[in-house]
Amino acid sequence: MRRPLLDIEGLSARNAAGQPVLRGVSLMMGPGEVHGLVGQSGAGKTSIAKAILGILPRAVTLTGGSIRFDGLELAGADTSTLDKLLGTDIALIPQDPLTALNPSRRIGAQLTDALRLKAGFSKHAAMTKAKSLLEEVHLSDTARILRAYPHELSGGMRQRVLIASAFALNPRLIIADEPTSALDVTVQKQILRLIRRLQRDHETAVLFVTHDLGVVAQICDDVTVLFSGAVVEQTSVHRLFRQPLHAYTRALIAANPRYDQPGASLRPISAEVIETTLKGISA
Amino acid sequence: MADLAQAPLPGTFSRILREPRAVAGGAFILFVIFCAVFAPLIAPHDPLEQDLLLEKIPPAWQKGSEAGYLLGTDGLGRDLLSRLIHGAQVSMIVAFVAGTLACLLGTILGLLAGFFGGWVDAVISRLVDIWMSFPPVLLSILLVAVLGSGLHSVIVAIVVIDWTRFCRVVRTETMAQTKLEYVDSAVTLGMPRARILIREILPNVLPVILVLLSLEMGIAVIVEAILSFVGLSVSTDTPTWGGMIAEGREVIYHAWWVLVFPLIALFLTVLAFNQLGDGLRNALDPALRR
Repeated sequence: MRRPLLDIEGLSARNAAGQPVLRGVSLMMGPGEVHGLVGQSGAGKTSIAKAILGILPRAVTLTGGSIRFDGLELAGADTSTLDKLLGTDIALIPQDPLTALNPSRRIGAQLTDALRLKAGFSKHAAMTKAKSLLEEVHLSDTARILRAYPHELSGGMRQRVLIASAFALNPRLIIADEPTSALDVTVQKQILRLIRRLQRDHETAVLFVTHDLGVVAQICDDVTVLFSGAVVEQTSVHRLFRQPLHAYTRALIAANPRYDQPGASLRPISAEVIETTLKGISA
Repeated sequence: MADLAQAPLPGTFSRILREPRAVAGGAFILFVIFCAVFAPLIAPHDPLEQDLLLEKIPPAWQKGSEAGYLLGTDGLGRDLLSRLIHGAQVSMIVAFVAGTLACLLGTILGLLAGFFGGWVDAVISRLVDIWMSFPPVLLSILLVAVLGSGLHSVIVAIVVIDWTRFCRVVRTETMAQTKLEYVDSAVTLGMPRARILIREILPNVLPVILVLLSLEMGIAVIVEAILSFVGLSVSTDTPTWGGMIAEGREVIYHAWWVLVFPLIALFLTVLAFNQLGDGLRNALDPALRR
């Protein structure tokens, strides 16, 4: 592997009640790779994403480990270090397109924020660039969209706007926090394809946070399976589905709907598996 | 679509105009403001001019009325209508100045508490708790007594007491907005905190502030009237509705109108502010919108 773009080592965090949120998570991503971060709700996927971006909620504190982006330490870094990277080198595609856009500002203003704040675009130049960004995410009628308020657009359109905004300054790493969870299945597929294509065109690394193994199969190169804040399995996507090593991973795959096997029934993850996994983590 | 999808600001004006209570309340307030501003031009008489020969003349539709005195005169023969029109001045000044200042103070502290949380929130919230455990009317009378009577003291008293209403609501609303992802997005763009607070969050809290402001103006009018009634507001040679009510109380058995007309003016003005507030709430609150 070339020098890693993102290197997370032994990252631990706990919440206000003192319970561990992350237990020594390590993860490595090379430039241009798509890495899936999967696990059920509360497994710590989003906490990792927020830790990288420095936007962990106040109640959660990092207790150890490091997050290195291109050799630069992000864990506990001061805001000026983060400010230099965020938006330009690291960008976010947020989870919920309903709340991720400010309801009282026009799309154009929000889309040009990064360009104007980070790259010093003039108002006019930023608008022109925004227009081409919208075209890149296959939105037509760009003039209308730039003038629109978020509530005038559909969920899929809003997510495209957010994707355009994330790719605006050609970042090296994009953190996609469940970007398709709030969308219906057909739109989901289009959005995944779009992210995949842009990622390839721009050679951007994407840390893809999701609970959906189907999504992982479609878009990721490598995958990290989290359970209760700990890594239970880390492998390539190819291997994950061929020969999952951990019992929890196998249970997770079995619990996922398979479109290629319509007759197969879903199996919920059994309490036994969860218990043994928990024991394995605490040991 | 979820309520959050509704933008609070765009199209606001036309939505307010479709809200009958907001329109009716707003129109009445505009009328009172008009009276206050042009009082010297509209009022048929000098509000201070006494004429003991014309004392306690009943309103025009009653027996014994005098031409030119539509609402009659008070115990000193001063024209009630003119005094009502001039009395609107103090009420409107207090409503707008005290209301706006209380709103500014409370909003700033509420935004800070809600956005920064932690010790900032702890300090501001405790301050509000302590403040709100004083009985407001007694506190205002005490304040004016200490500061000395006069319009300034009345305004200071109202601001000092009523900023807490704004602070509590704005704090809660700011907290709710701060948790939304658009704020995270702004943070990850390295937008300065002050700019996030003012440009991103404030516009989404503004509808609530406007509603509260309108209700607060009604409250300010009442508090001023109470202070005038007990003689702690402006000096007695400036007509005020509260002062007129106090004077009317003394002659209530032989000249009811001296008490009733300022009371009606006060009642309608406060009602108008409240209706405007409710109408604004309907027009602006996403949760009540269909």
